Amino acid sequence: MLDAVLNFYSIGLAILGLTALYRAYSGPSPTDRIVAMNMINTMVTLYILIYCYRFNQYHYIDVALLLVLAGFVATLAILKLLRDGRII
Amino acid sequence: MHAVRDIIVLILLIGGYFFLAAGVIGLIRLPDVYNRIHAMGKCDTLGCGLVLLAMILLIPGTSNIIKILIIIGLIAVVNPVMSHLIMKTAYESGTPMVKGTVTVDVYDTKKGKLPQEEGEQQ
Repeated sequence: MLDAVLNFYSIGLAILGLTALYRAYSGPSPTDRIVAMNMINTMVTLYILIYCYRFNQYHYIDVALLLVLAGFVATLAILKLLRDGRII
Repeated sequence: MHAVRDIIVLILLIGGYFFLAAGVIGLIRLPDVYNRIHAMGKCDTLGCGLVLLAMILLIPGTSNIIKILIIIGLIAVVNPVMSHLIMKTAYESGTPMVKGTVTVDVYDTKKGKLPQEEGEQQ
Protein backbone atom coordinates (compact mmCIF):
# COMPACT_ATOMS: atom_id res chain seq x y z
CA MET A 1 0.00 0.00 0.00
CA LEU A 2 2.83 2.35 0.87
CA ASP A 3 4.37 1.93 -2.58
CA ALA A 4 1.18 3.13 -4.29
CA VAL A 5 0.97 6.06 -1.86
CA LEU A 6 4.55 7.01 -2.68
CA ASN A 7 3.82 6.84 -6.43
CA PHE A 8 0.92 9.28 -6.07
CA TYR A 9 3.03 11.41 -3.71
CA SER A 10 5.71 11.86 -6.36
CA ILE A 11 3.02 12.91 -8.86
CA GLY A 12 1.78 15.45 -6.30
CA LEU A 13 5.30 16.79 -5.85
CA ALA A 14 5.58 17.20 -9.62
CA ILE A 15 2.31 19.18 -9.66
CA LEU A 16 3.61 21.48 -6.91
CA GLY A 17 6.89 21.99 -8.76
CA LEU A 18 5.15 22.87 -12.01
CA THR A 19 2.92 25.33 -10.16
CA ALA A 20 6.01 26.99 -8.74
CA LEU A 21 7.46 27.05 -12.27
CA TYR A 22 4.58 29.34 -13.28
CA ARG A 23 5.82 31.92 -10.77
CA ALA A 24 9.37 31.48 -12.07
CA TYR A 25 8.09 32.18 -15.60
CA SER A 26 5.92 35.22 -14.91
CA GLY A 27 7.55 36.79 -11.84
CA PRO A 28 7.61 40.57 -12.15
CA SER A 29 11.00 40.96 -10.43
CA PRO A 30 14.15 38.75 -10.50
CA THR A 31 13.77 38.04 -6.78
CA ASP A 32 10.47 36.27 -7.47
CA ARG A 33 12.26 33.93 -9.83
CA ILE A 34 14.90 33.15 -7.18
CA VAL A 35 12.20 32.30 -4.63
CA ALA A 36 10.46 29.99 -7.10
CA MET A 37 13.81 28.37 -7.92
CA ASN A 38 14.37 27.54 -4.25
CA MET A 39 10.91 25.97 -4.05
CA ILE A 40 11.56 23.80 -7.11
CA ASN A 41 14.92 22.77 -5.61
CA THR A 42 13.12 21.53 -2.48
CA MET A 43 10.61 19.53 -4.53
CA VAL A 44 13.37 17.86 -6.55
CA THR A 45 15.28 16.93 -3.38
CA LEU A 46 12.21 15.25 -1.88
CA TYR A 47 11.50 13.47 -5.15
CA ILE A 48 15.03 12.05 -5.28
CA LEU A 49 14.65 10.65 -1.74
CA ILE A 50 11.29 9.05 -2.54
CA TYR A 51 12.79 7.53 -5.70
CA CYS A 52 15.69 6.17 -3.69
CA TYR A 53 13.38 4.33 -1.30
CA ARG A 54 10.97 3.17 -3.99
CA PHE A 55 13.60 1.52 -6.21
CA ASN A 56 16.09 0.48 -3.45
CA GLN A 57 19.00 2.55 -4.76
CA TYR A 58 20.31 4.12 -1.59
CA HIS A 59 23.35 5.86 -3.01
CA TYR A 60 21.02 8.53 -4.44
CA ILE A 61 20.96 10.12 -0.95
CA ASP A 62 24.36 11.64 -1.77
CA VAL A 63 22.78 13.25 -4.84
CA ALA A 64 20.11 14.87 -2.67
CA LEU A 65 22.77 16.17 -0.24
CA LEU A 66 24.78 17.67 -3.08
CA LEU A 67 21.65 19.20 -4.62
CA VAL A 68 20.87 21.12 -1.41
CA LEU A 69 24.45 22.45 -1.24
CA ALA A 70 24.53 23.37 -4.94
CA GLY A 71 21.20 25.18 -4.65
CA PHE A 72 22.56 27.29 -1.79
CA VAL A 73 25.69 28.22 -3.73
CA ALA A 74 23.65 29.02 -6.87
CA THR A 75 21.34 31.30 -4.88
CA LEU A 76 24.33 33.12 -3.38
CA ALA A 77 25.87 33.61 -6.83
CA ILE A 78 22.68 35.00 -8.37
CA LEU A 79 22.11 37.33 -5.41
CA LYS A 80 25.67 38.65 -5.69
CA LEU A 81 25.07 39.22 -9.41
CA LEU A 82 21.93 41.21 -8.59
CA ARG A 83 23.66 43.32 -5.92
CA ASP A 84 27.02 44.11 -7.51
CA GLY A 85 26.49 43.52 -11.22
CA ARG A 86 29.24 40.89 -11.30
CA ILE A 87 29.82 37.54 -9.64
CA ILE A 88 33.56 37.39 -8.94
CA MET B 1 5.26 -3.73 13.56
CA HIS B 2 5.25 -2.64 9.96
CA ALA B 3 1.61 -1.55 10.13
CA VAL B 4 2.37 0.92 12.95
CA ARG B 5 5.38 2.22 11.05
CA ASP B 6 3.31 2.67 7.90
CA ILE B 7 0.63 4.65 9.75
CA ILE B 8 3.24 6.98 11.28
CA VAL B 9 4.88 7.43 7.86
CA LEU B 10 1.50 8.25 6.28
CA ILE B 11 0.74 10.89 8.91
CA LEU B 12 4.17 12.49 8.42
CA LEU B 13 3.81 12.46 4.62
CA ILE B 14 0.35 14.05 4.70
CA GLY B 15 1.52 16.73 7.12
CA GLY B 16 4.53 17.49 4.95
CA TYR B 17 2.39 17.73 1.82
CA PHE B 18 0.05 20.15 3.63
CA PHE B 19 2.95 22.50 4.39
CA LEU B 20 4.43 22.20 0.89
CA ALA B 21 1.07 22.91 -0.75
CA ALA B 22 0.48 25.88 1.57
CA GLY B 23 3.87 27.28 0.55
CA VAL B 24 3.19 26.89 -3.17
CA ILE B 25 -0.30 28.42 -2.86
CA GLY B 26 1.26 31.33 -0.99
CA LEU B 27 3.88 31.66 -3.71
CA ILE B 28 1.17 31.96 -6.35
CA ARG B 29 -1.46 34.00 -4.49
CA LEU B 30 0.41 36.51 -2.32
CA PRO B 31 0.82 39.99 -3.84
CA ASP B 32 4.41 40.89 -2.97
CA VAL B 33 7.99 39.63 -3.05
CA TYR B 34 8.37 39.87 0.72
CA ASN B 35 5.15 37.95 1.41
CA ARG B 36 6.27 35.26 -1.01
CA ILE B 37 9.61 34.94 0.79
CA HIS B 38 7.67 34.45 4.04
CA ALA B 39 5.64 31.65 2.46
CA MET B 40 8.77 30.00 1.05
CA GLY B 41 10.63 29.90 4.37
CA LYS B 42 7.84 28.15 6.24
CA CYS B 43 7.18 25.71 3.42
CA ASP B 44 10.77 24.64 2.89
CA THR B 45 11.76 24.14 6.51
CA LEU B 46 8.65 22.45 7.88
CA GLY B 47 7.47 20.46 4.87
CA CYS B 48 10.92 19.23 3.95
CA GLY B 49 11.64 18.31 7.58
CA LEU B 50 8.47 16.24 7.96
CA VAL B 51 8.95 14.33 4.70
CA LEU B 52 12.60 13.64 5.55
CA LEU B 53 11.54 12.29 8.98
CA ALA B 54 9.20 9.90 7.14
CA MET B 55 12.10 8.83 4.94
CA ILE B 56 14.23 8.16 8.04
CA LEU B 57 11.58 5.71 9.26
CA LEU B 58 11.50 3.99 5.87
CA ILE B 59 15.09 3.72 4.70
CA PRO B 60 17.27 1.04 6.41
CA GLY B 61 20.95 1.30 7.28
CA THR B 62 22.78 3.46 9.79
CA SER B 63 24.89 5.40 7.28
CA ASN B 64 21.83 6.30 5.18
CA ILE B 65 19.99 7.56 8.27
CA ILE B 66 22.99 9.70 9.24
CA LYS B 67 23.09 11.19 5.74
CA ILE B 68 19.39 12.11 5.89
CA LEU B 69 19.94 13.68 9.34
CA ILE B 70 22.74 15.75 7.78
CA ILE B 71 20.31 16.89 5.06
CA ILE B 72 17.74 17.93 7.71
CA GLY B 73 20.35 19.92 9.64
CA LEU B 74 21.65 21.53 6.47
CA ILE B 75 18.17 22.65 5.38
CA ALA B 76 17.36 23.95 8.87
CA VAL B 77 20.55 26.04 8.89
CA VAL B 78 20.74 27.16 5.25
CA ASN B 79 17.11 28.07 4.60
CA PRO B 80 16.70 31.01 7.04
CA VAL B 81 20.05 32.41 5.87
CA MET B 82 18.87 32.24 2.26
CA SER B 83 15.52 33.89 3.08
CA HIS B 84 17.31 36.72 4.87
CA LEU B 85 19.74 37.29 1.99
CA ILE B 86 16.97 37.31 -0.62
CA MET B 87 14.97 39.77 1.49
CA LYS B 88 17.96 42.08 1.95
CA THR B 89 18.81 42.03 -1.76
CA ALA B 90 15.21 42.79 -2.71
CA TYR B 91 15.10 45.69 -0.24
CA GLU B 92 18.39 47.19 -1.35
CA SER B 93 17.56 46.95 -5.06
CA GLY B 94 14.31 48.81 -4.47
CA THR B 95 11.70 46.18 -5.29
CA PRO B 96 8.29 47.87 -4.91
CA MET B 97 6.11 46.81 -2.00
CA VAL B 98 2.38 46.22 -2.10
CA LYS B 99 0.14 49.26 -1.88
CA GLY B 100 -0.60 50.34 1.66
CA THR B 101 2.63 49.12 3.28
CA VAL B 102 3.93 51.35 6.06
CA THR B 103 7.73 51.30 6.42
CA VAL B 104 10.10 53.01 8.83
CA ASP B 105 13.63 53.15 7.42
CA VAL B 106 15.59 52.74 10.64
CA TYR B 107 18.84 51.68 9.03
CA ASP B 108 20.07 53.46 5.91
CA THR B 109 21.37 50.54 3.89
CA LYS B 110 22.97 52.65 1.16
CA LYS B 111 25.45 54.51 3.40
CA GLY B 112 25.73 52.11 6.30
CA LYS B 113 24.94 54.69 9.00
CA LEU B 114 21.99 55.40 11.18
CA PRO B 115 20.10 58.52 10.03
CA GLN B 116 20.15 59.93 13.58
CA GLU B 117 23.97 59.86 13.61
CA GLU B 118 24.05 61.88 10.39
CA GLY B 119 21.76 64.49 11.94
CA GLU B 120 24.00 64.78 14.99
CA GLN B 121 27.08 65.27 12.83
CA GLN B 122 25.46 68.08 10.88
